[in-house]
Amino acid sequence: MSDLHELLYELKKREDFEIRVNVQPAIKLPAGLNKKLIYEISEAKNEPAWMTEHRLKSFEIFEKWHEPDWGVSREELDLSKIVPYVKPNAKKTTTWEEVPEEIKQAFDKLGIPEAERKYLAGVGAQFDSEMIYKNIKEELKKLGVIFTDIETAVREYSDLVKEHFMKLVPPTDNKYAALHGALWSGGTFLYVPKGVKVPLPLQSYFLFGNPGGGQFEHTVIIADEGSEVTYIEGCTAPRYDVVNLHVGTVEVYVKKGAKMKYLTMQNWSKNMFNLEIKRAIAEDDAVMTWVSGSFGSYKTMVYPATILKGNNSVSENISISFAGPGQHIDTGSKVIHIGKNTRSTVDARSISIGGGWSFYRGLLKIMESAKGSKASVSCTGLMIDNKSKSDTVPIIEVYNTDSDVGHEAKIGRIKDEQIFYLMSRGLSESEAKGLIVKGFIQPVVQELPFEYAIELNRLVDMEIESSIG
Amino acid sequence: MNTTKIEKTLRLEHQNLRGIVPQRKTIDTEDYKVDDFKPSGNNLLDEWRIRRLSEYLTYKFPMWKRTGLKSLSLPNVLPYKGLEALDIDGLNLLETLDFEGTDRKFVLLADVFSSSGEYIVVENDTTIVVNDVSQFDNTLIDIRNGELNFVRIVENPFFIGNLRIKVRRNAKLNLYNLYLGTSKDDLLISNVFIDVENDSKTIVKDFYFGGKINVGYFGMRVNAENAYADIRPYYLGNEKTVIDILYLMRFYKPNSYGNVDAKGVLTDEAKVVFRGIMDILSGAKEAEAHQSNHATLISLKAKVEAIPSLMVDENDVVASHAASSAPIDENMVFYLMSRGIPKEDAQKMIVRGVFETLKDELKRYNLEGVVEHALDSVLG
Amino acid sequence: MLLQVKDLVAKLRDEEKVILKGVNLEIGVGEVHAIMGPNGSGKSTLANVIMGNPKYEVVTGDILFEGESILDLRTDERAQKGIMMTFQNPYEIEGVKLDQLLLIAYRKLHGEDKTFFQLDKEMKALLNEVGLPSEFLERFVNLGFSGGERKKGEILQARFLKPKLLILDEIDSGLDVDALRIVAEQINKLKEEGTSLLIITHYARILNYLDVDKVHVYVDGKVALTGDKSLAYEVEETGYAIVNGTVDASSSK
Repeated sequence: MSDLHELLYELKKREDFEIRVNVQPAIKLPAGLNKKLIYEISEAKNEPAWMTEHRLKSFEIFEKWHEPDWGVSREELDLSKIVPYVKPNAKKTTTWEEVPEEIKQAFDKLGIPEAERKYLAGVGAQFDSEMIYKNIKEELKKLGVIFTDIETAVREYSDLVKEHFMKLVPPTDNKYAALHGALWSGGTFLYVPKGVKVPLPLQSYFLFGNPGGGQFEHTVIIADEGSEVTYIEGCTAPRYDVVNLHVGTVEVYVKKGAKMKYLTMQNWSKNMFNLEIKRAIAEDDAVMTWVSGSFGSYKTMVYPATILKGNNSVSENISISFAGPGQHIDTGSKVIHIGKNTRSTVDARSISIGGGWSFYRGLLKIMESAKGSKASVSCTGLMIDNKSKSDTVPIIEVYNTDSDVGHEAKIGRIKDEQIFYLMSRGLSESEAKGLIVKGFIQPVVQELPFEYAIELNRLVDMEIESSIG
Repeated sequence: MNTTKIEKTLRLEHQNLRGIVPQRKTIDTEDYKVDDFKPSGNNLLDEWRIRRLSEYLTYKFPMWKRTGLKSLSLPNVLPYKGLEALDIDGLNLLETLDFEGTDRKFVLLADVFSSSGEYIVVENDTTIVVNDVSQFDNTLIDIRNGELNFVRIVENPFFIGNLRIKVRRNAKLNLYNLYLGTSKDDLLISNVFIDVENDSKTIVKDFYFGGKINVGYFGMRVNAENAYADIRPYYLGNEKTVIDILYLMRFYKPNSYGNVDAKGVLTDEAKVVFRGIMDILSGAKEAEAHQSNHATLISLKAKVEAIPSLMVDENDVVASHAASSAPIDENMVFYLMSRGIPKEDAQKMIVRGVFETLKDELKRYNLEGVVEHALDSVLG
Repeated sequence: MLLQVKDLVAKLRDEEKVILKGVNLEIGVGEVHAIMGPNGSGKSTLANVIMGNPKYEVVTGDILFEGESILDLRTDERAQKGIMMTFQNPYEIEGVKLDQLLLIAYRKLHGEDKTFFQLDKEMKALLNEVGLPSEFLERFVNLGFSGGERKKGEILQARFLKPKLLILDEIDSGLDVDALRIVAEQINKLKEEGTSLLIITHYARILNYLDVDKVHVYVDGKVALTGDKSLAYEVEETGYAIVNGTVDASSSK
C-alpha cells in the first residue's frame, strides 16, 4: 500500500509542473534567404511592381507557415543549399565530367541526341530547339495563341497574367507554395483564344533554356471558351540538376466548353526532392485531362487536382508512377465536384520495384451542390518484387445523395506462372517483366505522342533491367 | 521497465524511407487529476494503473475535426471496477496488448478510471452477454481454448471503453458489439483490440446506432499463420449522428485471411467516416486482405467520408478494397415494384435488408429486437 | 382483349434515340404470343415499357390493359392490376429473403385469401416442381444464384403470384436442355391456370415445348410480321431478313 501511495505522491508533484504541450520550435531561415534576395531577383527580371509585391508577400507567408505534417519525410532537405542558385545570374551549370554516370548511361540507352544531352544534364545553357520552334511559332501567331516563357508574359501581358497568377494556387496554400511564390523563376505562359483548336501538342521543350529555369517553374495555361489544346511538360529522359529541390506550380484555367490536356513525364535525377502543385479549374462543359508519368527523383509529392466548378464539367486523371530502388513516390489526385452533373475518373497505376515505395493518396470530394455527379476511382499497384511497398490511401467525401461514387483498388504482383510462360517462349526474365509492365501502363502510353511512347517503353526496360541486376 | 510494444495505427515506413504521420491537435478541457485515482485493492493491477495514469497526464484530449469533437465534459469518477481479478498471467497478457486506439488518451482513461469490466479467462465453449457497462469500461479476455460468444450491449449516454481480447491457437471468437444511442447527445468511444494466434477464427459484428458522436476503433494484430478473420461493421445513422469508425488489420505472418466489410444506411443529416487500414508486412506471404464499405444514403443531407487504405509490403498477397456510396439501387426498387410492392415499401425492404444477416445471427441471443427497434425508429 | 399496345413509341429517358418505333400488338385472354427479334432490337425495352420501368419514357402511343390505359400507372400499380414480368437478368436483392418477398407480394396482389400455412405449403411445393432445394426460400433473392437458378426462381415467382398477363423476357437464354424443359413445363401450367403469356425470345427452341397462338417478328422497333408457329421456324432458318420479303413467308392464318 505504501508503495502505491508514494507513486501517487510523486505523480502529484509532477502534475503541478508538467508542461503538457509541445512547443513548436521557431522556424529558422537558411542563410541568405531574406527579403534582400527577393528584391534582387525581381529587379533582375525587370518585373512590374505587382509581381515584386507578390514575391514579398509570399515570402512573409513562408516565414510564418508551418511545415505540412504529412507526406514524405523532408528531413534531408536543406534549403540553404538552393540559395546560391536562385540569385540572379547564378552560374547554374556543371561540367560534363560532374554529371553522374547513371545519367550518362541512361542517355545512351534512351538514344538521346548529343545536343539534348548537354542541356538535360544542366551543362549547356540552351539547346537548339530554335529550328523546330520557329515554324510552330508562325502557326500559333496566326491563331492568336500566346505561347511564351512566363517572365516575358509578366512583362508583355501583365494584366492577363496578373488576373491568373497564383490565384488558383495561392501562396497561402502551403509552405512550399509560399516559397515558390517568393522565388519562382522560369515556366510557361499559354493562352488559347476562344474557339481556337491548337492542332498539335505544345511542348515545354520548345521553351527550354530559360535563365534560372528548373527549380521553381511556374506555368499558367488559359484555355478560353471553346478552345482545345494539349500541353506536354518535361520528357521521359532523365534530367539532372545541381540543385536538388523542384517546386513547380501549374495553374490551368479551362473556360466554358474548352478542352485541355496536360501531360507530364517527370524523370528528375535520383537525388531530387520533387514537390509539385498542379491545379486546374473547369467551368461549364469544360473537360480537363491530366496525364502524368513519375519516374525519377528521390522523393516526389504531386497530386494533380481539378476543381469541377462548372456544370457538366469533366475531369480525367490518368497516372503511372514508378518507384525504383530508394525512391519514395507519394502521388495521387484530387477532384472536387462543385457543379451539377459533373463527371470524374481517376486511373492511377503504380509500379514498385527494387525496394521502392509507391504511395497513392487521393481526395475525391462531392460537394452538396454537385447533384447528379458521377465519380469513379481505380488504383492498381503492381509490385514487381518482394522488396518494395505499395500503399493506397484514398479519401472519399460524399456530401450529397444524388451522386454515384465508386472506388476500387487492387495491389498485387506479376505471377510466377506468367513469367515462366513468357520465358518458355524465349524471353529473358527482365524482358518478360518488361512486357507485363508495359501492358500494365498501356492506358497512359496510348495518351502520349508517338515519340514519347517509344521513349517511355525504353525507359521501362531500362528501369527494370537495372533493378533486377 | 515498460518494454511494451504499442500497436501503432499508422505505420509509414519502408526500409530507410519515412512518411510523416499527421500531428494530433488538442483541446483544452478540465481533466481528471491524480486525486481522482481510486484504488482497486489489487496491488499488481494498481501499479500498472498508476503507470498508465502517469502517461495519461502528459496528454491533452484530442480535437477531432471530422467528427466534430471540440469539447468534452467529463463525469465524476466512480469507484473502480474492471480488472480486479487480474493475476500475473493477466498482467503479462495486458502488457502485450497495448495499442493507440481511437486516441491514446482515451485508452489510458478507460484503463485508469474504469467503473465496470472484467478479466475473463475462457477454457471451453462459453457464451457471455453483457448489458450493464458503466461510463468507463475495461475488459480483458483470454480465450485459451474453445469458442467464446461474447455479446456486449452499450446503451449509455456517455461511454469510453477498452476491450482487449487474445484469441489463442485454435480458439474461436464470435463477438457482437451493439452500440445503441439513447438520446441525441450520447457520446460513445470504443477501443477494441484483438490479438490472434495461429489457426484461430474471429468473427465480429458491430452495430452503431443513434447518439450524437460514435467513435469506434477496432484493431487486429494478425501475428499468426492460417488465422481467419471476418469483421462486419454495420451502421444506421439518422438525425445528426456522426459515426467515425476505424478498422485496422495488420498481417505479420503468412497465409492468414482478413475481411472487413462495412455496410450501412444513412438518413437525415447523419454522417459516417469509415477509415479502413489493411496493412500487410513483408513476410506475410499469401495473406489475403479485403476491405469494403458500402453506404446507402436515403436523404439529401446524409454524408459519407471513406478512407479505405491498403498498405502492402509483401508482393505475394491478394489485397483489394472497394468503397461506394449511393442511393437505393433503382433496379432493385423496380424489381420489387414489379411484384406489386409500392415504391416506399420496396425502399424500406431494401434498407431493412442491409441488416438482415446481423438480425438473423442475433436471434440466437434473443437480441434481434434491438436491430428491429432501431430500424423502426428510423423508418417508421 | 387483355393487352393492347397501340403505335407505341418509346425511348430511354436520358437519351434522344427512339427504341420502340410504333409497336402494335394485341393479346386476348388465355392466349400465348411469342415475339422474336434480333439482338439489340429493343425486345426487352417493350417488356420494360409495358411494366413501367422509369428508365424509359413513352413518346406517343398507348398501352391498354383490360380496356383501360395504364400509361399513368406506376410499376407496382400495374403489377397489382395483374401484369408481371420475368427478368432477363434478375437483380440480386441482398437482405431480402425469397419467402419474404413472395409473401409480401402475394398479399399485395391477392389480399388475405389464403392463410400463411397454405401459402407456405404452396411455396415449398413449387420449389420442388422447379427442382430448387427447399433452402432457397431462406436465401436472399437471386444472391449467388446461377443463371439457371435465377430463371427457375422467376418462373416460380410467377406461378406463385398468378398474374393475369406474364411477360417472359428471354426466359430461355442461358438454360441447358433440362432446365429449359422444366421452365417450359411451368409455362404450360401457367397457361392451364389461366395466365396469358407474352414470350420474348431470340430462339425458336422454347416453342418446341409450347403451343402458341401467334408469333410476331420484331425488327427495327416495330412488329414487322405476324404469323403462327411455323413462322418462328422459318425465321430461325432464314434469319430476320425474312421481314424484307426476301424469302417468301406465308403470314397470317
